[in-house]
Amino acid sequence: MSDDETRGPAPSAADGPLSRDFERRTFSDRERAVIRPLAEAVFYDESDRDLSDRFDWLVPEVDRLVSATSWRVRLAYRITLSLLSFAPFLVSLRFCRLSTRPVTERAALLARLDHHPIGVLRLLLVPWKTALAFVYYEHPAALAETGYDDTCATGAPRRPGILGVVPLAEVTSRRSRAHGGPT
Amino acid sequence: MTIVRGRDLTDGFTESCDVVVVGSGAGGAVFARIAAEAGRDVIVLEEGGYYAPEEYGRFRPSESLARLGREGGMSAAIGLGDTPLIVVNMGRAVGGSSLWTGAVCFRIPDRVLDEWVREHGLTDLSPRHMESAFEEVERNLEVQEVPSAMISRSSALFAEGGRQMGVEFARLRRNTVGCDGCSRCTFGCPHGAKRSVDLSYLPQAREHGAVVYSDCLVERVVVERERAVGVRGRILGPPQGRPTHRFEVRAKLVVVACGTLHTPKLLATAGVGRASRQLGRNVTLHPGFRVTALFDEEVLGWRGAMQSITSDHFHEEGILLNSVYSAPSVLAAGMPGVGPTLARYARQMRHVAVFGGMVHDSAGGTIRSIPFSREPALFYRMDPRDKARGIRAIALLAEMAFLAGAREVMIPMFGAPPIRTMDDVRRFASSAPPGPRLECFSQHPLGSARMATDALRGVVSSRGETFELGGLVVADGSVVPSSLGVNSQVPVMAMATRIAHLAMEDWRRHAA
Ligand SMILES: Cc1cc2nc3c(=O)[nH]c(=O)nc-3n(C[C@H](O)[C@H](O)[C@H](O)COP(=O)(O)OP(=O)(O)OC[C@H]3O[C@@H](n4cnc5c(N)ncnc54)[C@H](O)[C@@H]3O)c2cc1C
Ligand code: SF4
Repeated sequence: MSDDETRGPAPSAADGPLSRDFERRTFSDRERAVIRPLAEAVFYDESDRDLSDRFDWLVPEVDRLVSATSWRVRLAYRITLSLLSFAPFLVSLRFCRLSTRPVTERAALLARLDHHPIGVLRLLLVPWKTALAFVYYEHPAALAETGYDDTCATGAPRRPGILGVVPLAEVTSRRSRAHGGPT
Repeated sequence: MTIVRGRDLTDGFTESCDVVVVGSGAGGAVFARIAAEAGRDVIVLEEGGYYAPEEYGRFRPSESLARLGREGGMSAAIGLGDTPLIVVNMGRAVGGSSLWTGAVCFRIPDRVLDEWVREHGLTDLSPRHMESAFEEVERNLEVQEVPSAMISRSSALFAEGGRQMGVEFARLRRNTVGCDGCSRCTFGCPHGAKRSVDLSYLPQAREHGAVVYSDCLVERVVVERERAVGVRGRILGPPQGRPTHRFEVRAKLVVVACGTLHTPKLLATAGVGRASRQLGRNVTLHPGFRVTALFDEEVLGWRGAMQSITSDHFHEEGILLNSVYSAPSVLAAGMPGVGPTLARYARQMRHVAVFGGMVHDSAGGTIRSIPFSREPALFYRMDPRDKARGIRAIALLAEMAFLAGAREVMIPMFGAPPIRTMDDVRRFASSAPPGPRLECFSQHPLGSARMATDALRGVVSSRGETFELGGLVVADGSVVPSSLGVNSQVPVMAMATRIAHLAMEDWRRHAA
C-alpha cells in the first residue's frame, strides 16, 4: 500500500486536499517491519480486535514525522529502534527479536523495559513511545476511544486569505516598478 | 504580504532591496512591517514553508509538528551534569514560533527591565523607554484579557487548588480575537482567531510592499569592506526539501531574526562574536514542567482557551504558574506505561486536567555549530538553584491538583508511577530526584546574541546593531539580555519594535 493510500484522518472532501509536503522517508522496509510490531505492543489493550487499519496508517505517518527532523535525530531514532528490536535480550537475556514474539509477550517485555533499573535502558522507549503516540491517537478511531469529542480541527478559519502566494515574475516586476528593480 | 513560495521556483534568483530580513517569526515580522511602513523596500527570507491558515488549521497536530515546527517538535537541549534533557519547541515556517504560541501575552516585568538598567547598564530599556513599544505591539496583536467563559474546567481546577493554598490566579491576556476555545493554539489556530504574525504583522507589511520568500535558507551574510551588504543561501526544494538553487539578496541593511538557536550560526558567518566570545552563550530557557491530574469528574479540558490563568505568587522563588493544555495525542504520549496500562490511562482523557509552571532561570545554555548539520547543538547546564525551583514547582502543582480533588497525579519524571496522596508529593519533593529523570520542556529559548553596553559583554548594542560589523542588526529573541520569567513573544516583539524604529530614524546612516 502506498503512503498516499494510507493517509490518515482525511479532511472532508469539501475542504479540498492539503498541499503535498516534501516526500521524505527515513526508514527502510525492514525498519518499518520492526516499527509495526513495536507499535502493536505499545498500544496493545488486551482486546482481540483487528486494528490492522490503524497500524497500516500509523507506520508511514510516523516515518513522515521523524523524517521532518535533522540527520542527528533520525540517527537517534534508527539506533534506538535497532536496540528495541533486541528488547528480549535487554530485558531477559534471550536471543530473539522483539518482532518474532506474540503481541502479549511484546507488550510485557516493553513494560519491563519501561521500568528497567538501568536508567539508559528505561529511556530507550521514550522517543518511540512519544512519536508513536503523537500519531496513533490522531487516528479517528483511537482518538474517539480517548473520549475526545471536539471537531474543531476542521473548522473554517474566520480570517481567511490574507496572504497571497504569487509567482516570482509578478513580484519582481511589481517591485521593479515600485523601487527601481532587481539587479 | 506577498509570498513567493521558494519550493515552486525552478531556478535561483538575485535581488536587491533596502532591508533584507532573515526569519519571518515574531521579531522578523515586526521589523519587516516597521521598515516597509517607513517606505523601505523590504524582502523577508524564511527557511520554512508557507501554509495559509485555511490549510494549517486542518493539520493534525503531528502534521503541524512536521510542517510548521523545527525538528518535528523534537529539538532538545542536551543536559550537562545534573540537568534534564529539555525539549525545546520552535517554529520553522512563515510566521515562525508565533504560529505555535498559546497566545499568552506578558510585558517584560518592570523588575526585569530595572535589572537590565541597573546591572547591565542598558539605560534605554527602562520601563519608561519600553512603554510605547509594548503599547504598539499590544495594539497590533489585539491583546485582551481572556473572557471568563473561555476558562476551561482544567484551568478552573488549577485555580481552585491554588485558592486552597492561598494562591490567587489572574486571567491571562491573550492575542486572540473571536477565540472559541478549542485548545489547539500550539498547533496553529484553526479559526484564525490567534493573531500570529502571519495574520497581523506580515499582512500589514504587505500593504507597504514587503515580499516574503518561503523555503529560502540563508547560509551566510555577505561582507564587503567590513560591512554587511547582503545574504546568500539556497532554496529548499522538492523532492525532499534539501538545498537546491542558490539565491543572493543585496541590501543596505541586513536584519537577522532567525531565533535564538539559529541567529548565532548566521552571525558567525560574518565573523561576529569573535571579539566578545559571547555569541551563542548566555542562553536561558524558562524550563517548564507539567503535571497531569486525573479527576473523578469529567473535565473535558479541551473546552476553553488553551491557556487562560496565571499566578506570580511564587515569583520571588523564580516560579511562574500558567494554565496549560495540549492535544490528546500529546497528553497520551506522556501517560504512564505501555500496552494495557497506557490504554487504560489514555481512555480517561475526559477526566484529565493539566497544570503548568516554569522557572525564571539563569543563563546555563550554550549553542555550538555541528559540522555538516543545519541544526546547531544546544547544551544546557541547569543551575542547582533552578533545579530546586523546578522540583518545588512540580510539588506545588501536584499539591494544587490534590487540593482540587484529583485522585491520581502524574508527575513529570520518567518511569515514575502516578502518585495518590499528599504524602507522595512530600516524598517526591524531599527525594531530590536526579535531573536527567525529570521531564522538562522549553518554548522560550532566549539570549544567544545578547544586548549589552560593550563588545566584551554582549553581541549587539541597545540599538540591536552588532558591535563588530556595520550594516547588520539583530531583532529576535537572541538579543534578550537575561531571563524574563514570563512568556517571551510580546517581549521579543517589543524589543524588535524598538530596534526597528531606531534603525528607521537612523536610515541615512544605514543607507550611506
Ligand atoms: C510551542 C510554543 C508555544 C509558545 N507559547 C507562547 C505564548 O503563549 N506566549 C508567548 O509570549 N510566547 C510563546 N512562545 C514563544 C514565542 O513564540 C517566541 O519567543 C517568539 O516567537 C520568538 O521570536 P523570534 O523572532 O526570536 O523567533 P521565531 O519566531 O522562532 O522566528 C525565527 C524564524 O527564523 C527562521 N529562520 C531561522 N534560521 C533561518 C535562516 N538561516 N534562513 C531563513 N530563515 C531562518 C525560522 O524558520 C523561524 O521561522 C511559544 C513558543 C512555542 C514554540
Ligand atoms: S483556543 Fe482555539 S480558537 Fe482560541 S486561539 Fe486557541 S486554537 Fe484558536
